[in-house]
Amino acid sequence: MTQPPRLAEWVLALVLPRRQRAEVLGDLAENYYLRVRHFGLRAARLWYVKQAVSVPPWLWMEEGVAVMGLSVQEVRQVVRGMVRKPAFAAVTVITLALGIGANAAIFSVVDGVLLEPLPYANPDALVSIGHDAPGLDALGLTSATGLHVMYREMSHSFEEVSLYDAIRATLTGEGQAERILTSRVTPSLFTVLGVPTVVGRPFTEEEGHPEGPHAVVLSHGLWTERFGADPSVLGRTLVLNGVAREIVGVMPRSFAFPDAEIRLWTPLKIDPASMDFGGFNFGGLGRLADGATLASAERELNALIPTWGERFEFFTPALIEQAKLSVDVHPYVDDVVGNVRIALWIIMATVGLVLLIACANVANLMLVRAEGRTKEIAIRSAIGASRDRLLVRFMAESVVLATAGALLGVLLAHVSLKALIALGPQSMPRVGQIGIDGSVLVFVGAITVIATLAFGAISALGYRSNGEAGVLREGSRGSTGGRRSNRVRKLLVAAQVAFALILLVGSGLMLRSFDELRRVDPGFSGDGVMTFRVALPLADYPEVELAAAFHRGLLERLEAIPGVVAAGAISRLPLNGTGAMDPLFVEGSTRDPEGIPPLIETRAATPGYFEAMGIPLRQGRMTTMEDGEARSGAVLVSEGVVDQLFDGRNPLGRQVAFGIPGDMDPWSDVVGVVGDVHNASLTVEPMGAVYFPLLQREGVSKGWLTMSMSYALKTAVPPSSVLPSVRSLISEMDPNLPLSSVRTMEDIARAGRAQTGFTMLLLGIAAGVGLLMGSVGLYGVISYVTAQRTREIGVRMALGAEQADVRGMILRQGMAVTVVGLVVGLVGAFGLSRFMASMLFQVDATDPATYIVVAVVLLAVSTLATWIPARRAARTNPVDALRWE
Amino acid sequence: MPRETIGEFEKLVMMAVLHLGEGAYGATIIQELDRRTGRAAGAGAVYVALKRMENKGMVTSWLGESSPHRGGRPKRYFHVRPDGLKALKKAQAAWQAMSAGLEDVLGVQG
Repeated sequence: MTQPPRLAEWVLALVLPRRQRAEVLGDLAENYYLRVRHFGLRAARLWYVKQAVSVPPWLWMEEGVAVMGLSVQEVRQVVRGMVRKPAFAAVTVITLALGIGANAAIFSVVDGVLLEPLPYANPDALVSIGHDAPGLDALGLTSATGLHVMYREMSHSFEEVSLYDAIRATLTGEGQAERILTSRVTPSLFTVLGVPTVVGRPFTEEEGHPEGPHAVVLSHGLWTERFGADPSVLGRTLVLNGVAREIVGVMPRSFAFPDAEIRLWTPLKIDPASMDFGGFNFGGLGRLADGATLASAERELNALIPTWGERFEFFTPALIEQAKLSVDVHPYVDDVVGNVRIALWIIMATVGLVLLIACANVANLMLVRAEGRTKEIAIRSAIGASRDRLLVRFMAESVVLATAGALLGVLLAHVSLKALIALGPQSMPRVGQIGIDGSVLVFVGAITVIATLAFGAISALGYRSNGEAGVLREGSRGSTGGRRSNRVRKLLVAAQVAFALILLVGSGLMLRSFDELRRVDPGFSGDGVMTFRVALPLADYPEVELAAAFHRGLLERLEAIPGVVAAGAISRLPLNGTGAMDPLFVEGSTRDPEGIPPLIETRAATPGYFEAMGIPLRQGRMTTMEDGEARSGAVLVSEGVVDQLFDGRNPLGRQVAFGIPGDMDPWSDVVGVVGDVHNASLTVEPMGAVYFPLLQREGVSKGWLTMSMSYALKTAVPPSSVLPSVRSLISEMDPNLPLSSVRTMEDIARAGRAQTGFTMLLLGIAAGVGLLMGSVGLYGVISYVTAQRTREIGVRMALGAEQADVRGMILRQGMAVTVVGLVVGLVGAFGLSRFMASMLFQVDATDPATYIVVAVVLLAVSTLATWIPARRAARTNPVDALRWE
Repeated sequence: MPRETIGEFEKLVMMAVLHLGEGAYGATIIQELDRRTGRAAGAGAVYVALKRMENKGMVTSWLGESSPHRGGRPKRYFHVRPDGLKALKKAQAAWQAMSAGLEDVLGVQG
């Protein structure tokens, strides 16, 4: 006798309600056997699986309703009751939808970006290996080829270590020339990540050796686009930067290391025998061995530092001590999401507060409703309806409303998620993981249940305190029960005010940060400046003179385009992260000869660059094209260099050089000083920079700067309109050269502010919604409480109270609630805002100006919310009031 | 006097139970419905209908013995109660009253 499909049966056994499990399984099994006999195995299995899917929902619906002790009829009555009072239901559902929806949307982001594990084998064991040298002001250094060799040999804490980077290269052959982002990796990287290729294989150790063959592994995207996902692509060649490489493997679609833009990987060629340090140019990624921890691995590697001197001459004991070198081993995931982590959690907390405010509003609404039905309840009780059944009905109402709110909220979240991602900073990591999936729905379910219990319980409280015997009597207003629920209501509103204040403080601080960020003077003027990058392949331009000649020629032609005011080239644009930095020596300096001087950035730049970017010349003269051609050795330095290396004194005529003691470049002459520029980012203070011309003095090792240059064009016309002319000029000069990274300087600056701006936007919206809900809540409660006192007001007015007196009385009541909320909120904001500190720029988390402004705004809004019912109360006609019941 | 009404599907299920007499349990009820109406009723709908009728007092059930050819699981037997029969008869009467004179259109005996 065949068994029913095992998996389906097992799932059913899990999912069926306990009471009916055995009989249902038995019935289904019996029918299954019957069908096998009559209709065949396949039809029977199909039927069984269909039943497995359809039966549980039916039974659970009945069960769920039964749990609450409601019959289907009672549920229908509850729903009908809602439909009869659409205003109440609509307001409640919308309020909840806003709160739940906001939380669902933000949680989707938090879940996708922060909570989902990285798509690699055992991702918790993946660690980044970096270094710090605080003694040289160099933190967050990455890793080096020499260190990779050493760690591989000598460390036991890692199963395997690897190196990687991201670098642009020119792809030719098999289609158009294209500038793409590539990654150079040690062959061990694929072992560390544990992701297999879909076609072919990863690199062999041989391919990682300098003498070894040139290989390449493709990304799924490149494989699909250029080769139509043809599996026979293995063995074909690609030409990268003029070098032919054999395709040995293809990675799966989901593989995006270290960046989603990477199109292919090439092997990093390291000779383990050579004792070359290599420079901190590569990211270090390791997989912890079983039993090793972050701390133990860090300890082991730190213990190796004193031995660096034996391998690498450069690292004398004195240098190691001065630099205070240390190793930093941290989880790799921090590198991926670290910069957005705090911002995301803050935003999550923010929408949590919004939900609390929403729940408080709903609770108040339900309390009002409960009071309105006091008589109905009393009558029903009197004719025999069980008290508890009525309570259950109120809970049912809460459940129905909350469920409707949750469903609408999920819909809102789904819609707004797309907008959120589009508006968000381009640099948001792991965007592909963001979406409304199972874990988000579980989260929504959880907060819906909590919210339901919360305001269901509160309204049940209100009901309890109202349902006492005295209610059926006429003129029962002002009973102690009513007063108690009023207190609950006022407390809720005070809580709302407090939450709203915290939200407002948070968004106020972000607003000021954003404003400060906008006001940073980056050292240049980016208006109307168009930039693009041109990279010259070594194969076509083997000598730096050829590269320089190309750039000179292109610049001449660019300047001739009508509408172009100035054109210049620079090896690396500002606001582009930290570039190459080396120790800079000054000839005849009285500094400690053993010590390492400050690290200074290096650039190659043409004179037109400074003009196009509006970077001022402070002293001396600008370098010229002739300086380049003649290799005169003239250089420009920035103000930062003057401060750090010349103690602020005149540098003109002095000589500087890069290098390390024992391997120094020839000296170059300082002929001019230019203004400092924010090369790394808007928030990082500029460090000094030395600007070489296209061709440096013979022997200076900075020729590589000239190969790949970014161009900056200042135009009098819209920058994009000169683009076609630029493209045709370049292809005239060299048809194989792709143009890449076309952006205006304004866009680049805007991207630098993007994350702060986005956080500010979200917090601002949350604060706005919170304030709106809070003030509506305040208005509602004051109106209601005032309405209850109509009779009392009538009496007072009849006894001679003026309108102003009545207004004042109501206002005082409202303001009392507000002030309590304000004080609690201020204390709360004060305590909580320090969690935001790392997101702020040039603003203290306790910035008094922000707090004061926010408090004033809240007071003003609350006054307005109280004023309207106060005015209405003052207009009461005493006669009507006394008649009113 | 039964105050509850009986739904369309519930009627079919009840009639299946009546047909089966002593041998009316989950699996056979489903088979009987299938056999007679030609439409395979979903097991879930059948269970829910039986449960609701039980709640309304129209049907009663008890757990019987288990048998090896069901993987050792018990059967739940159902039996129509007097209130249930009355509700069914009432529904039948209503149907006959309404359909009187419509035999040609409906093409069936009352």
